[in-house]
Amino acid sequence: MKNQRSPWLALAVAGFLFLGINLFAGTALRFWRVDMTEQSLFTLSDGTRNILKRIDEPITIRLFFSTATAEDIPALQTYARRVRELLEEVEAAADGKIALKVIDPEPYSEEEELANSYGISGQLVSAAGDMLFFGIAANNSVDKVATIPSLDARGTAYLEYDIAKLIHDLAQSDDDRGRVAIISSLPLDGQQAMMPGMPPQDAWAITQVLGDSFETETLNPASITGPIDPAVDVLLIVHPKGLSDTARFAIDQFALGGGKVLAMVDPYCYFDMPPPGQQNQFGHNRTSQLDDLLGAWGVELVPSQVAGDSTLARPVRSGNSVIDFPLWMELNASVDEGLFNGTDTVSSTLSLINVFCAGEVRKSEGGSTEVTTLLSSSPTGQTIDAVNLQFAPDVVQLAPTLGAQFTTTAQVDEDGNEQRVGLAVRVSGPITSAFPDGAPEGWLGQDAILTESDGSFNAIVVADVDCMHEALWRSAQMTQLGMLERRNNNPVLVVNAIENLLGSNDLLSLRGRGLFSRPFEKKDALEKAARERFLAKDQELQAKEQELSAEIRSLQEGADEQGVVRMTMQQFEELSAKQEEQIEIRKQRGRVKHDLSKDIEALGARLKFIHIGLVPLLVALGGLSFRLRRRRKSA
Amino acid sequence: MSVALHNTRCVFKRELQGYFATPVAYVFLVIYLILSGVFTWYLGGLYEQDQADLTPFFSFQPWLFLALIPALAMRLWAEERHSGTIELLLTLPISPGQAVLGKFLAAWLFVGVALALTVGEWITVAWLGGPDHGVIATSYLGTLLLAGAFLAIGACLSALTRNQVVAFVLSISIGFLFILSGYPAVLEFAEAVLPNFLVEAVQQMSFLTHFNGLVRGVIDARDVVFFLSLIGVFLFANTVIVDSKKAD
Repeated sequence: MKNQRSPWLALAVAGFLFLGINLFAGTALRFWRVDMTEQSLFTLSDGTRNILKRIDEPITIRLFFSTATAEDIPALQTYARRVRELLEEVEAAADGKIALKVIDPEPYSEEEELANSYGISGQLVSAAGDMLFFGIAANNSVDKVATIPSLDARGTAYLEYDIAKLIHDLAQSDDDRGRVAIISSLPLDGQQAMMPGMPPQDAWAITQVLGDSFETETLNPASITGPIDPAVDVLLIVHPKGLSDTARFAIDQFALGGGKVLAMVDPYCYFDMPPPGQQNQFGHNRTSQLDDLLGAWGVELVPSQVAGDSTLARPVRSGNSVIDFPLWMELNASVDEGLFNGTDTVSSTLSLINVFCAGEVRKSEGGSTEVTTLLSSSPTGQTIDAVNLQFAPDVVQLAPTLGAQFTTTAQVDEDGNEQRVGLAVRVSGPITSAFPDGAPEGWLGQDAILTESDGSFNAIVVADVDCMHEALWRSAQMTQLGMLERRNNNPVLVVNAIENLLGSNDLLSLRGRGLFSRPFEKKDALEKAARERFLAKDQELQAKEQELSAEIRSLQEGADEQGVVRMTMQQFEELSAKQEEQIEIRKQRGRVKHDLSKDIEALGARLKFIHIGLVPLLVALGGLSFRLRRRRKSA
Repeated sequence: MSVALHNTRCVFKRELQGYFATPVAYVFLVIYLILSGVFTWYLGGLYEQDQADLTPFFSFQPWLFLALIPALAMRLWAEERHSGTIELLLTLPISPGQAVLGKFLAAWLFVGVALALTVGEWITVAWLGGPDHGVIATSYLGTLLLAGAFLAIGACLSALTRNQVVAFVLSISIGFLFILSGYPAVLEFAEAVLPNFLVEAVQQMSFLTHFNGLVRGVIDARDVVFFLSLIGVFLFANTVIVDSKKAD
């Protein structure tokens, strides 16, 4: 009945059907998918959709991607697919206001020139000279251009934000960019060499970040004698120190007039370096001074108290070992969700923040404003007197002694409620002037002086300045592979706060999505416990060793001119016993250090044994007993 | 319809019982678990990476399956042909399609059991930290689909020959091509023999691309359709081959 050809025909048809289905699915089912990730990382968020709604001039987005070069790099292909699909989704959601073009710039082609003209340059990826172009350029009908010169798979968490920002930048005219005026006692813009032969200081990276998003200007506090331009949208005050009466009055009037303020204050600003020539390096005052204004706004930076937290302590190197330093707090949402206020847009999208020697900021007694905590420590957070930090030129050197001052027990108030140390707050509500007696001497302003705010005053106060410095933009985690660092949300915190004060919440909601670090908490706890034990034991041994050295020294006292010590046989025996004891203690210290990672390694070994040995063994035994039983049954 | 279902179920049951009646099943399970463990914990460095996810586990699955599933699939038909039981099977009132489907489903379920036995890894990372369970569940789904694809290929090729070793080597080679399609070596070959639009299609055939899509935590219809249609087409081919070789 069957002829010889029919099976082959059937197979060929099946093969073509298979290809057909998949080619069809490739385009038709593009958006048919379920995002199973906890934070919906692969779904276009509402923030992006809102930004798309605000586009007036049609936008063309060009994605440059060298397909042939990427063929050998599957990870890159996967990421390129992700980028392309996200852009396609954006295109589909923009209601025809966005056109997407995917361009493959082959070597020496017009497309390559086009890429170069947008500032997207190829990266050399192989010894054979293959160039990889992977970037985005977008322009609108009025020829405004925005670009992402190079995309990198490591930036996955920021991809949607980057693209949304690109569109946001095009969609708004330059006049829409918020105006931010900065008053700072720190050389944020960099500094000329203070002395001949000294290197000049670079600008802080945050100025670049702020400049990218806002129109920024720096005000020299010493020359403020009149009102701050009311066209300034947000006033950023960084580590205010020794502000003149007129400068403080100008801020006061700005706030009363409805101006928005982001104040970065600090009881101990690490990056406030004493001038190189200063005689008394220890006496350099690193405390922000803005008490009167903060008081008028209903908040206080708890005076001369520095906050730390043993739960959030970040590991630092101290000598040859690594110890936890509670004053360097790593706020990680996966450790404790209560660290970030989840209902406020400034903090709800943050998940990883580093602060260093921060202070405690809280509502002051009798304050008229509403104060909401945005960032706080964990319940084990507490404050210590800032005086403790003055004993070394670099506070990190004090890590072992300072660390010992922090307990691991949760702090509670009289009623047994858990207490957290507030690290950043939002302030809103009516305020009155901090200058009840009116304008100070030297005020040159002509306008009427305000004594109370017209409507509601809005500000955000962060009790740490150091977090703005790029040195704190990486979080560290101790792993067996060494200290692992990753980009954190620190720069985002500042930009978020300003953008929120400006009222652009959409971009904000996108930032830092998927920046979750998911550490092995069990392992971290073991590590922390081991380090604490090590520190306690080591300190005990060190004390004993010092005691012994002192005793040995006292036994050796009284040497004559030739350095010969005369002693009785008994003294000599005592001396050699003590010296032996000293050697023994030194050995013990070495062993304690060696034992540090014992628990962690033991847990790892146990888990490996379970998965590689025990589970297969159980399966084998199960199989054996099953077969034996069957054989017995059939016998 | 119900007869077809009944027949398929009969073959399925017989096949599944066959697995557990011989030590082969347990040897396979034990070796799979040991290798999975070694890859995950030593080569992948799950414990040392200090991140609560199962990426080290899943990233090695395609390569592990590439070697192990052909070993499982090679006997599906080649053995029946070698021992002559295929005649017996096909003289029963069972269509070749029902037999193919029943055998395939039994083997797939068996691989599913193997995969289920690795759930300890999931429990372990959940105990150590807080993984994204949605991502892990989706990854398991992707792994199961990937295993099905390898199995369908293996079963089909096993029907071509009565020599299990030949079936094994063929399956590994074809599976390897599917893993690597999208890589230049395969594409250059495709360019030489296929029209342009088919070359593009070949490029979309990479197991790794579709598998990685699922492992990141998104159930994309295209990835699921790809694996299911691939299983479908190879099972169909399997049926055609069994049917046409009935007389051999």
